[in-house]
This record gives sequence, structure tokens and C-alpha cells, in this order.
Amino acid sequence: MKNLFKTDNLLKAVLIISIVMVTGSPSNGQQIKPTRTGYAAANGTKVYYEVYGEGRPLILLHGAYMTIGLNWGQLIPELSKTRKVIAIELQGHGHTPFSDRKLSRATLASDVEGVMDYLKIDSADMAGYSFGGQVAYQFAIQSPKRLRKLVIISSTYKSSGWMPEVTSAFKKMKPEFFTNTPLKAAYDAVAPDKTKWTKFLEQMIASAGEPYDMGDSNIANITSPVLLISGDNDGLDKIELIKTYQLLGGAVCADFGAMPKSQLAIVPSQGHRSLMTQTQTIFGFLDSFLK
Amino acid sequence: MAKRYTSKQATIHGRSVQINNIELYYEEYGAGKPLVLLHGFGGCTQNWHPFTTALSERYRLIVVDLRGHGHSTNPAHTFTHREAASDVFLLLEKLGIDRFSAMGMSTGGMILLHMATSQPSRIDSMVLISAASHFPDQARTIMRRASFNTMPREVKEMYRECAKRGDEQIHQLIKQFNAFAENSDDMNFSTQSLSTITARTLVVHGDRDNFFPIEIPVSIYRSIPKAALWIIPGGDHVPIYDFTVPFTSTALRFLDESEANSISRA
Repeated sequence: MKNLFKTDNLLKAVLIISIVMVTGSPSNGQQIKPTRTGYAAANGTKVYYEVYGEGRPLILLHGAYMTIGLNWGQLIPELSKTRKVIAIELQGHGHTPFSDRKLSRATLASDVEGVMDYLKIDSADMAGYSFGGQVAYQFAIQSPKRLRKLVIISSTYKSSGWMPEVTSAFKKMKPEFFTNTPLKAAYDAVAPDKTKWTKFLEQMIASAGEPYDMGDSNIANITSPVLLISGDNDGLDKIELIKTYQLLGGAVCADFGAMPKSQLAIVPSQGHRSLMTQTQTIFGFLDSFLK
Repeated sequence: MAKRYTSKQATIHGRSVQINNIELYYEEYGAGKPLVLLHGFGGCTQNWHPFTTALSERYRLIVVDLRGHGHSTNPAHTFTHREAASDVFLLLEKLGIDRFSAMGMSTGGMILLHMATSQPSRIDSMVLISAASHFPDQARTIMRRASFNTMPREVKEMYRECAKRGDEQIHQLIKQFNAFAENSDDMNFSTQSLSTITARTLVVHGDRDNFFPIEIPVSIYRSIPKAALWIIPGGDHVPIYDFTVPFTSTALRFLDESEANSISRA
């Protein structure tokens, strides 16, 4: 390793990879087949989806650079036992083709709505991890009538919700950090045009470097119950996370008013990436919150 | 503070020792490294009974009735967390225990903050359940207003079950609880003083605790150098009795982790 990186570069690379990569080797979960797959036309491009199980709809939005299998492979078999799971791959990710269309959270959230229209789903529960959580927040802001309950996993609606180290790591990301990662392998396995990998990375990296803020007042106006899930060492600034929980109506003294409908879960000894390996813990939170 | 559940199990493990002018009652279970268990205000050793079987398979448990609680006496009728911490240290001295791990519910956790800041090297690891570094206004309001008649039914049942000497003991405990509302010296830990704690610490809290709002455990977690944070969704004060909350397994996993694997924030 010494030959490849100077020490501080190595540390940065390790940090970045731990932020962008989620575990979940698809091989050790029981793989189940979707009942339906396909593409929905939305906003001048097409968006890939997979449907599993029957019941009340739950939409899953993956993290940056990931695929459905890499992010949700362990959870889908559990979640789809009692509900209809609709997993989506966002612009340029997995099966969904690369597009020159400018990457924006508003457009991606609108793509999600396009998939719902196509599948004739009026309203749904939604869970988003990391980058997918940002898109889910945006969806809650722009399409509130189509959302029932929202689950945000290790994510925030503004740059300052991350610890400063994370924000600066986002800015220092480079396409070559992704060579020989499980992310690249998962992409190669399903992408319609593998030659778009570097362009896709450049587009995502450029977007990750731009500060964002969806607005405290927009978050406070979310009427759906929200479950926030975080790892205690996942790179989210915990003071900001508590403020978010307060904006969503949590952290009140329930003796003097109504019980908050939103919930906060923080899992001990877990980072951004390891959090998603705690399948039973995450499933337990979702299953009880989405009832 | 308030608890939702107490075991009705009787015990034959207990004995009392003289600590100054107090008869302090404690129970022992199991063998191994000492693990001190401290109940919340108004409670007693019985609050731990749902967990003692599993915990005693790995640890020597020292389960204490705090001064004035359960079988323990308190002739002076005063209770501060600092005094209670001194009682526990004196008990451990009698038992010849130098280093130990510990868990505390609410008041028990706040006693541990006194112990871990006054003699940091004694505690290897600890679990703080619904504890606070200071009393916020909303807690003081509840403390000031508290009376036996207005307490929730399950809290009353716990007081009745734990107060072995009956109504007079309950009366004294409620008076001490009311007095917390006006005390700003006993529980007043700064970030600086919490940062001297060397014990690996698991901070456990419910997301809708009615005494101590969520920013308090988060600030304790951020101040203690080797801390982990567990926030339980839908959990209120001392949210560890619900069967969906894997308290024993999570606490044991944390306590068992070797020093080499100890967690600290990045």
C-alpha cells in the first residue's frame, strides 16, 4: 500500500470508501426473485425498478454509486414478506442508463414519482439510505400527498448535517478510488452500457461536491411520520440530527403534550457502512414503524 | 426515577453491611469480573431481576439497594447522587473490589457519573440508561410536582413493592425526589468534567424520554471520550423492559468487547 498512497492520501481514501461503499455481499443473503422488473419512462429518461411481494407499497432508494442488490439485498427478503417492495435505481445507477440530464435531487424525486405513476401507486411508504435518503427528503417536500411514512437511514437534508470531515472527503473524491471496489463489480454486472462508468462517476462526484440545503422550514412542514436511523459513528453530526428530529416534532416532553409521531433510532458502535449490515436491527425498526 | 416494571421475585441472595450510619443492602449473583448494578430513584434491587440470570452467567453481580431504598436505611433522610456514589464506593471497599464494570438506570446512571469522574481508573466499562448530566427544566417541573397520589399506577406499584418499610419510607423518598427540583449542585456535570471519564461507556436513551430530552444523552456521548450511543425509537424513560428491545444482548456485547477493540468516535 505504501507504494500506492502517501499516508494521508491512504487515510482519505479509506474514509471515502467507507462512506460510499456499503457491504452486503449479495451472495450471503437468501436471494429471491422479483415478481416484476422493468423500466418506467420519466422526465426524458427511463428508470429501472424491481417489485417484490404483496401488500402496502414501500419504495426503496439506494445510496450513491450503489445498486438495488448491493444496498437492499439482505433486507428485501424480510420486507417483502408482508408488503409490496418497489426498489428503484436512480439515474446512471445499476440498470438505469446514464443520462446527460443534470443531476438534481428534484429531478430524481420526480423520477420516483414517475415510477409510481407507471405502476399506478397513489401513495407509498419510502425508505432511503444516504444519497437515497436525500432524494426521499426531496420527495417528501415536493410530493407530500404521495407519501405515507418516511424512513431516512444515515442521511441528512443539508451539507452541514454531515461532520466536516465527511463534507471535505466528498470534495476530494476521484473516479480512480472506485477501481476494484464491490461498487464497480455490481455496476458491471447489471449496467446497460458499462463504458459509461467514468462519466457516471464524474457526474455523481461533481454533484456530491456541491453544498446543498433543502431548508429547515421545508423539513418542519413534512406531515408524514418520519423514522430517522443513524449509526453512532456514521459521519452525521449528532447535534444536527437531534435538531432534525425536533423539526419533525420529536424530542418534546410528552407529559405536557401529544406523543411525537416521528421516531429516532441510533445504533451503537456502527458506522455509515456497517449500519446497513445490521439487517435484523434495521428490519425491526422498519417493520414496527411502518405498521 | 420512574420505572415501568418490577419483578415480584423474592430473593435469598441479600445481606446488609454498615456504611457509616447506614445499613446498605446488596445482593450477589454469579462469578467473574464484578458488575455493579444500580437501580433508579424509588426502585430497588428487584428492578434488575429480569436481567440478573443472563448477566450472572458472565459476571459477578453486585446489586445494590441505594440509601433509603428497599432494605437499605437512611437515618439522615437526605439523598444526593454524590452521597449515594460515596456509599457504593464504601461498599466496594468492604468487598475488596478495586476495578469493576457497572450499569445504572436513571438515578443509578447519574451516581455512576459521580463515580466515574471522581475515581476514573476504577471503572472499566459502564452502561448509562436514561441518565442525565444535569436536570433540565422539564424534569424539575415533574420533580417539584411529584406526589405519591399523582404518580402513574405502575410507578406507584414499584414504590410499594420496593419500600420494605411501608408508607413512611415512601413519604421520605418522595420528599427527597421533590428536593431534586431545587438542587443545582448535585447534578451539574460540565463537558470538561465528563471528558475525564476513561470508562468505555454505552449511553442508552429513549427517543421520547419525558424527564431528560434527547440532547442530554447526545451531549454525554459527545463528551465522554470512549462512548457509544444507543437511541431506542419509541422508547421513554428507562426503555429496557420492552421485549422488542435487546437490552441484555446489546449491553453484554458492549461490556465484553476487549480494550483492544474499544470504540471511540472517529
